[in-house]
Amino acid sequence: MDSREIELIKRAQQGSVDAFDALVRLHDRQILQMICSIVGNQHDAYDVYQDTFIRAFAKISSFRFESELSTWLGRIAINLSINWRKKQRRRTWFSLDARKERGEPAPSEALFLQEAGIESSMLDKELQREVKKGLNTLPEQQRVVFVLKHYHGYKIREIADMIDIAEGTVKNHLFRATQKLQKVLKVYYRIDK
Amino acid sequence: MNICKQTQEKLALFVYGDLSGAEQDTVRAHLESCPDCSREVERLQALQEVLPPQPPLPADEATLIQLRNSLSQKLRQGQQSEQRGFANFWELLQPAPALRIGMAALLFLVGFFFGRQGPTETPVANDLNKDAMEALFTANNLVQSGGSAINPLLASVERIKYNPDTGEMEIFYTTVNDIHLKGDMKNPAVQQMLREAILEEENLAVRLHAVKAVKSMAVEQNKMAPEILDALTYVLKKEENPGVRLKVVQALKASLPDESVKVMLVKILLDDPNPALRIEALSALMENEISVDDVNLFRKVARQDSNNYIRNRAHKMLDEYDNQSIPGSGRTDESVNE
Repeated sequence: MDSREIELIKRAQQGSVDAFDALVRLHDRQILQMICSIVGNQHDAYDVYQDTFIRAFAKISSFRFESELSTWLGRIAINLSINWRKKQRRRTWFSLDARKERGEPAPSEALFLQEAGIESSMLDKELQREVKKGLNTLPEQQRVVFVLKHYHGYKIREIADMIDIAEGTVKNHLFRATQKLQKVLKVYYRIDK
Repeated sequence: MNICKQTQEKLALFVYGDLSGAEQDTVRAHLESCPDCSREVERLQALQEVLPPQPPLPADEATLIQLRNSLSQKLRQGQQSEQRGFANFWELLQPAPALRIGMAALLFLVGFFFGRQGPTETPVANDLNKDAMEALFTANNLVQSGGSAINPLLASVERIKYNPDTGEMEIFYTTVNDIHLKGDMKNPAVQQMLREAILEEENLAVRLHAVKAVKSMAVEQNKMAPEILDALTYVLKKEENPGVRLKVVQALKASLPDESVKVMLVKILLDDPNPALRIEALSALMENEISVDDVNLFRKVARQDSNNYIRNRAHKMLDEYDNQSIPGSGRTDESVNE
């Protein structure tokens, strides 16, 4: 955390929205990406994004500089994303809409896949479906641990800090998540023994 | 397949590179002697390949700005309603009119009693006249610059230092409101702020407005401050948004015939992948006095540019030049600047 960020946090703690806006600009890309990979579609992610930063502003006076601000924000974002998913059980990894019913990818999914370079030539629709299914079948914490590790590259201790569980539990969740995903996706492996 | 229990949780971390150096070495050594764990690592690596990489940001720049603006608005509204709630709280404490005189009398008596107990203190607030009070809250004297006026309102007092020996008081405070800078185009503060906006501002619309303002300034003054020119040069190299880049070229066009600007426009005309920018650069160069080097440049463009419109314009311009030129005026230009 550099001195400018520390100064902004202190000002935000005294109620400066301008300072908080500057902090949002520093971290919101990463936070939005994280939220989207947990809640699964961009429109819900936008709502959780707003909730996250509103909650963060309300609580910033309790930030004690014991962790990085990004980790602290990540923790709020993850908790709200998990709560959101609990409320939206019927929704799947990607947004459900008419396109999906027609068998087409939802806009967010299309963007996800297109930008990730995963076109149908490389990864057929069946595999896409299996990846989604696999991620959705994971218990919530395993899923969050896997998403934070695989898609966002966080260290084990950072994940433990964010979702407030022991590092050993994070490792165990990661192991179990990879085992389950292997089972779901093993037919697509080059090594499928 | 039997993965070794003591290693199983470390294998994924090994694949993700999230083990310490010593642990990584231990696992690597184990893998050499354990085919099951080794195969598991291969499977994990295959899983990594089969899953999509990190998802992209699910919002483009414009959406992100919209989200930020909406958030900021909500926070400000929340803060205002909180303050209103606080004011309402005090209103609630106001006694009924019939009790007010009694309350006032009681407060007077309490004040009188305690006032007699302690030393008499200097009434600081009463010493401040209206102008001094205003200066305290607007800090005009600290931030005025040339013809500009910046009036930041007080947000909070950070720290107060009092030196009892000298009687000097130091107050550190922050400002919270949007700052309004007013001044003409020649004002150094205005120029500095425009430069900052061009270089640093994340909001695309603000960057665009800053470049437009710079363009107006260049049109009016027919020149450009070197700092602004530097900023525009930087933007041309780094800016990704074609709208902003186009405005930059238009701003540069207004500050011709500055030689460094001309060099930049020539570079755009020859190298920029965006035809709109090349067209703007071409028209800028064509509107100015045309040198022999320019004619050669246009010939090159007329031959080589991938865009039909640009080639045609260059041809047309060359035809006009040929028609207007006086025989023997020295158009032995083919060899120059090819």
